Amino acid sequence: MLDSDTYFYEIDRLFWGFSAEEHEILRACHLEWSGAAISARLADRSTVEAAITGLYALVGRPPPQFVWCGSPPAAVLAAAGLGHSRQSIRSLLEESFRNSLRGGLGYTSWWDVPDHTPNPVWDLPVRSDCPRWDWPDIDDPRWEWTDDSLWDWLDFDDPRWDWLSPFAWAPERAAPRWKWYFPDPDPDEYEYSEWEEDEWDESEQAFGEFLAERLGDVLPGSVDDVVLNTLPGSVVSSDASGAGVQLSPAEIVRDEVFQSQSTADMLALADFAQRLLVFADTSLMYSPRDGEHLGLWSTVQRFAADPRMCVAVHALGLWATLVRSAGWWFPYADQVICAERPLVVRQEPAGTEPEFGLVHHRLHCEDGPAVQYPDGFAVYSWHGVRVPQWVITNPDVDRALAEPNTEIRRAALERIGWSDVLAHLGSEPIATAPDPGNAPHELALYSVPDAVLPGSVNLLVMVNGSPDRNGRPRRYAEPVPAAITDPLEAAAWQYGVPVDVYTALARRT
Amino acid sequence: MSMTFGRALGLVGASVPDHLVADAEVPVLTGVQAQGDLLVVPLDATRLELLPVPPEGVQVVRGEGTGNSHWLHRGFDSPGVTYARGGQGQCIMVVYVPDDQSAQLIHTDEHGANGIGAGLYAIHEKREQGEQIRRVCD
Repeated sequence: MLDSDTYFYEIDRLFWGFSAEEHEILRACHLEWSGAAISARLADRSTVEAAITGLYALVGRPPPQFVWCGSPPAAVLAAAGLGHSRQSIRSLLEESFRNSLRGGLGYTSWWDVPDHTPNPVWDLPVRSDCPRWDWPDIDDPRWEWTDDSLWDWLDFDDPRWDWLSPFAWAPERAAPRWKWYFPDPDPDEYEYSEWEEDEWDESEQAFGEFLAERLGDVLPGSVDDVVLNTLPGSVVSSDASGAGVQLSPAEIVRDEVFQSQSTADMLALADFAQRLLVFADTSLMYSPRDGEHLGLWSTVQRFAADPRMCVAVHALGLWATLVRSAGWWFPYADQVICAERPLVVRQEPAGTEPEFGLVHHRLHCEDGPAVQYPDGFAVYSWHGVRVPQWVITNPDVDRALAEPNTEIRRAALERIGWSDVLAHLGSEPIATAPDPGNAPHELALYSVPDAVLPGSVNLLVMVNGSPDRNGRPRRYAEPVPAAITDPLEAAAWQYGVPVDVYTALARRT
Repeated sequence: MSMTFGRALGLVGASVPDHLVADAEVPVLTGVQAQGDLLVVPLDATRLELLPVPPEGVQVVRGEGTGNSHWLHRGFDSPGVTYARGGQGQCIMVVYVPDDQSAQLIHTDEHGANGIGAGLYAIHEKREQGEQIRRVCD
């Protein structure tokens, strides 16, 4: 017997949960868009200029002039150089983007269902061979869908109906997706005749809202973090008098730049919604009983009555193109300043989001720049902590110990290696113990002097179970919570097991 | 066919580092064993839904873009090996090995391979105390 919490959880999961297949789609969207947003391929300039010109046209602007720069700081300097002539049209574009997104989340266009490809549905242009029909006035009484005369009037032998058949294009997408639309799972109970056009709109809107609420933090957040991390900290320019002026690209991005790459997060969400809606409509088209009429009606009325979706799909296509092809760009009234994309982006996995299995990443490179732009500008990062170049390329114990910022000091000491730092400090271990499964080596636990790193960690010094490729066993240290004072307990904590499990270790490689 | 380092690393397309003996047999254990940043712990029971390990194996830690990685493989004669991702705390994967079969945990670099005998196991990953707690990559 289920308790009520479990029962409601199960019901909730049944109607609002995602299937294994949908989880795959979610992960694919995440991977694809976060990958596009931090791509290290050079910008495709003609594609970028065409897409931005298209977006300018959508907000009623003539084609702008383009200025290309080698990195975001160079673009910031170029924008500063525009002086009084710069007038940002960011808010216009943002509004246009949000409207398109709303359209993209709420409506699906059959024209954009791809042929057996998992690409975003709006990725393809309207197919030129798609037949056009002259639809009668939506108020024509024959459109009253409960009226049998509709079905008499429509000629199902017309080959153009094939264009409405999802099976003709993508049979693998024909998964049952009733749950998005029908809160009541029992079709016998369901009075479909009560569903009117505005209710469809509502249910679709609810779908978009549901996704935004459910995935709002998970999907956009993870993409957004990655992108914002690649922004430079600050650059120095000189003003007319020759004095240095400090500019912060991050601030300028916030104030002036339209965040072309950070639109990737919302596109990932809209893409996911679009892909799911394709499932939804497919099932409505061919689900048993009268649902098929309902689905047909829904599709027909969208075709006939809603030019908004075509515009939204077109605009989102332009945004998607920019995320894939452009770096950061600054939209001004007559000019657009575009920054090149980086040549190098190096990251490491930073945990897996538990509910959907999305892998998060952060910038990290232990022997070079984590981000490198073609004009030479570089960002150095240690496990996601932005550090000065010397920390990575020329680490030095004395310089690290003198670093006032504890986060950077810690990064520098870690870069040098805790075991070298301990040797430099001449510390004595708090305790030692034989390493289980790794004879004849020992585990040794050291405390870190407060002057080096105030009271947060102890260091566990170990020897690797296998020698490195140079044949020598590697001695290394890793930080553990300062509350742990026993080496075996520290090693067990690292793997999250009780001490007796760790001491039973039979073989370490 | 007995499992050697050479054969095990060949299963995931990795070459044997010079300092490992390619013909050395991979010991198959049913106790606790470690491979770098992973620890294999025998379990008593579980109610997880387990999936068959595909012929090419599964990458134990997801998202290790380039560089070295740990693979769970069913070897040559152990079609019944199953797994599930996730778990409590540091546990990232559960592995079931039926009687008379064995699974291979294979590292693409210096750690070589660990053979896992019949039983049910949790694979734990290592963490360290950074600015925040973070996983250890090797």
